[in-house]
Amino acid sequence: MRIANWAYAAALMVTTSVFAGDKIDESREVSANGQISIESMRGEVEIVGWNESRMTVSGELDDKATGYTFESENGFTVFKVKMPKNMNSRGWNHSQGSKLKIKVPSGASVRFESVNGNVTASGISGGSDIHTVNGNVDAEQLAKRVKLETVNGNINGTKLDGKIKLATVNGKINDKASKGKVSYSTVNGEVNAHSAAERVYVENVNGSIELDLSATEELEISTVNGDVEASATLNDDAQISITTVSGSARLALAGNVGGSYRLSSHAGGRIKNGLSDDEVKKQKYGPGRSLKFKLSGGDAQVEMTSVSGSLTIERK
Amino acid sequence: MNDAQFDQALKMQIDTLPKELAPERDLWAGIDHAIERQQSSQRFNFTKLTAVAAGVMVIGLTSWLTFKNVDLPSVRTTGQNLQYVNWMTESFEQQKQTLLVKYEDTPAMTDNWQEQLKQLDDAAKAIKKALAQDPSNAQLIKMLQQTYQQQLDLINAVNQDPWQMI
Repeated sequence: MRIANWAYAAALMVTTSVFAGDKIDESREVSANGQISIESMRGEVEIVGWNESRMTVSGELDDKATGYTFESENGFTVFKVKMPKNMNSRGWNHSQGSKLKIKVPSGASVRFESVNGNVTASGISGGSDIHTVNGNVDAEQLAKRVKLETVNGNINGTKLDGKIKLATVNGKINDKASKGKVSYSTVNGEVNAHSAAERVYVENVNGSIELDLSATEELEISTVNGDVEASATLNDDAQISITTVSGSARLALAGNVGGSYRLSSHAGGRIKNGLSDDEVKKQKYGPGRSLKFKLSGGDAQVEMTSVSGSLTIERK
Repeated sequence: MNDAQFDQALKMQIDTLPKELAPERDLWAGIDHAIERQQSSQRFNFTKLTAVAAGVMVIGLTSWLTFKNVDLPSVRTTGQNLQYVNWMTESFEQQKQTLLVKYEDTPAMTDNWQEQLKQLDDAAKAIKKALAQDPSNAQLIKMLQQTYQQQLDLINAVNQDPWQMI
């Protein structure tokens, strides 16, 4: 149904021809909580939510742009910077991408696509799906379903709320004051988060992971070579799983730490217990070490596993 | 002592031994457990065979399969665990090769993805080495599965043509 509506809206679109690098200052009446699709292949784009049922686009279009489409119908709005067919980035180094400021109703659901360019988005409560390839994503006060993705670039989030997914391949992820359910994924980059999210999932290959979590119900961290420094205040019955191949992991806990704990390293990683007096056991015939203990007063389940990285559990 | 005398002495020693020898501990519980385990193992084999057959069908139909939705079977024995790990590794290698061939002519979006792929591959080797010591460790099997999936995700993520993506 959604696709059909988008197709209908697309069919009604009118293309406006422009000269390269032209200024744009356009406005359309749009639904206060409709769906908005924005495409700008190159350049800097700033998307801001505001309290009006109107969408405005202002700034400068890409030097290589052949025009733009900007249409709204039945709650679906499309803005697209049109580019030449069969394009690639070769020979475009001396030309400028778009520089646009776009205002959208704060209750709208926004989808944004770019290839080369940075994007900032703020004040959108109806959901945001923002994707670029080469560029950074900066986001503030986005809510509902929030998906921010890039391939080569950093992602910086502030006060995100809802079901949040932040993903990059080469780049850092910084998250401040998020709430809800959040997942961070990077291949080659650090993850740094101060979050009140109840469910947190982290995955990376290289790069440190630093987390300061204030209301943890569920935490899953998986890394290959990255070092993990996590502190978490546990809600009742919290579940934590940390796995690392060669990186070290330190977990500092506060809140209701009652529950069962199981730490194991399989190829020589040391285990340090700063939470109870229980001793680490060393395998009789092999390099493995393990630590199991229970603390009364709660049902938290904490599991830390490494191949060769060291593991530390302690009180916050 | 000649051979005849040795045989005589040995017979006398044997005759002094008791006719029955009770085990030092009660073995019936263990035997009972072993029989039960064998039965459940047979049940598992059927489940596993079905899972493997289903897996092969999916590979055939879709040409590549992600590990995200593959549940670990309720593995119980070392042999079955190793069998599962081998099956998972073979499936992964097939999918990896298929993707690498698919993207052979597509310029990658990052210039260091092969280095990252190698790091993931090294990680998989380290996990498999640990699994050889502790084949029943579900966490290690899960880590291996995750490392394979990360490799496939990485290949897909960096090898799309960005200008065709939107």
